[in-house]
Amino acid sequence: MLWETVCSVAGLILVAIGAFCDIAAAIGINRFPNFFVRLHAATVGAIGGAVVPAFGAGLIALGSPELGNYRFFVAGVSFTTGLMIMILGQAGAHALARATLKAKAAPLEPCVHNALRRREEVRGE
Amino acid sequence: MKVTDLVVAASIVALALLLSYAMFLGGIGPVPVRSELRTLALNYILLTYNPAKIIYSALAPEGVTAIVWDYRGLDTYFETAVMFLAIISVVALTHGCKVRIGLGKGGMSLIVKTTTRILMPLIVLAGVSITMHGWLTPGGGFQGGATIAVATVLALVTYSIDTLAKHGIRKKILLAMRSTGLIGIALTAVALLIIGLAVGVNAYIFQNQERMGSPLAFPAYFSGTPTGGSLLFYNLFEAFAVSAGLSLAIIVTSLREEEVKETLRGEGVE
Repeated sequence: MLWETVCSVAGLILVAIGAFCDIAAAIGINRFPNFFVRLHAATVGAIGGAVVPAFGAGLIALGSPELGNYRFFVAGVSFTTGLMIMILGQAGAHALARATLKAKAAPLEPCVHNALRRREEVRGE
Repeated sequence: MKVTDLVVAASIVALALLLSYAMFLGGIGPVPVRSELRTLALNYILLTYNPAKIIYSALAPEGVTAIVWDYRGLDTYFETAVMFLAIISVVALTHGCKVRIGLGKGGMSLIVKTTTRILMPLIVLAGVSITMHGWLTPGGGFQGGATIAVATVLALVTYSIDTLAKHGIRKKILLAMRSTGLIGIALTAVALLIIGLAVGVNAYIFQNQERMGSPLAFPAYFSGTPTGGSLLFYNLFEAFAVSAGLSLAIIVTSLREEEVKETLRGEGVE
């Protein structure tokens, strides 16, 4: 079936993108200079390296007729998991970054742009 | 990298290798190698769902739940009771402490709060799903209840304990829910016994399906789907009890210093 092949190929491409994002995130976490930029690399790993391959796994399951009706269960779980990580990953990273900044727990140098400090300046805090 | 780091890393690797070598030589006693299942395990697998031998069967496809709540149900009941006692102890330690609204700063940022608002119903739904499939797939009342309690923890961390108190999630209510769950489990355990006494036939504690000398049984199917008989009720009540119990434990241990100091000093006791 054509659509099954399309699903499988699209899924494999998404898994490959995920693998690339994971490697990029791992290099970033090791090489970036401070906590906040390393957190940025970690979210690349969480969204690109976990959400995208989870969607890919769902598509691969849909394109696998040998799984029978179970492919829909696998695909459903994969898509739901991907969606939940997508919602959670950004909120977790935001909470970590905000708490670290407020508590001054990590050095902020080098700093290119600090949106939170800018907002506080505008508010006059 | 310091020399001490290298020494520590090398020591850990050496320990793992030496332990593996000792195990390989049989240093921790003979390692049993079996190619076939033990008779006990085989019996559980063959009888957990076996309509041809109902008097030995739980009629539930999920073996673990069948063992936990049917074959060794009394044991599980006491395990649940032990957990209940642990929670009662935590509550007793902070007896008299009340949540004082207005102490906190109102929780985390809007982004985290919005995410939590989206996720909380999903978490509760996942917990209910794990509970309601407990006799069909891996999972059950404890796992489902623990998942539901995560929603409380998330709300507590994100919104603060004040918000939970404002929405009526208080110690007394959770304790009442926990007790209701435990009473529900106890009633399910003796339900067939009470019916047996009323109609004058033999019955047993923790009886699920027909047993030798007792024709009574919980309904094993609902519109063709196995319900596991009593396992359905055990899972539901257990989820109820565990979700309330764990939420209660988390709330009590999250009380702030100002809320517990007075009571712990004894000033709040008459």
